[in-house]
Amino acid sequence: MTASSFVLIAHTESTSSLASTQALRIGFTISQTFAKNILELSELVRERDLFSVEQLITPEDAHLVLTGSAGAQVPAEAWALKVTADQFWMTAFLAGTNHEVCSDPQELATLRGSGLSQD
Amino acid sequence: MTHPFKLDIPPNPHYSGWPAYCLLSLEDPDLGRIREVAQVVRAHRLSCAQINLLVGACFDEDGFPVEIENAQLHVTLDSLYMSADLKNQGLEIRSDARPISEALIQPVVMSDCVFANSDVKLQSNHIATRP
Repeated sequence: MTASSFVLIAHTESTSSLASTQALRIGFTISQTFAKNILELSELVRERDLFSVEQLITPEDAHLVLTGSAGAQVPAEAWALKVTADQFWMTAFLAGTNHEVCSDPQELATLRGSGLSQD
Repeated sequence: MTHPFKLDIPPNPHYSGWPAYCLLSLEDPDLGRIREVAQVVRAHRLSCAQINLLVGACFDEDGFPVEIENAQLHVTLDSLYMSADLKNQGLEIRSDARPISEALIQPVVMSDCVFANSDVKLQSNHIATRP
């Protein structure tokens, strides 16, 4: 099974309490199966006329790492995938807090272009 | 029939003018749509699905409207909540979640705000304005 790695820039709410975590990066590696799942969810969004869908991510789905501006790993939990008809992105909560970190959206064409959608 | 449905919004001490609650004006077709989306969530093992919010408005603790944009209704297996952006401020608000059953079976009748009965639709002439 092939896999592919992505790095998405994360952004946070611009509150003073999160000033030290502004430059977060979400890096993730996803399997071919998970990439196909993302594409199928985008089809579901289109077919059902939804805005987006959300699915919790398990370690089996994808390897995700949240990194701070200094390069150190930042503890995160409750990882989730969000998919619209043409984009996907990842979210997580800073461990032990209710502060959500949200990556910038990635075009689904990126997955299709990577060949991950092909068996 | 219109089903006014109230969702409380957690306070945010960092910002003034933060809304205290939102009201959804759900028509019967909207309730059917919520049921349908909840079934999609179940069938596809999703944690949530978002649909564009048809009619909703946010209010501060005094009952005055707060301008929002990009409002979304989030539907999980058994609950719903809304999110939206405060207009021109780039801040997201998110309501508390309430059981779907409350919206589908037992509509909340607002007796203490500008929407006095369950048949009132959310229209501009029903919204209070500041003196």
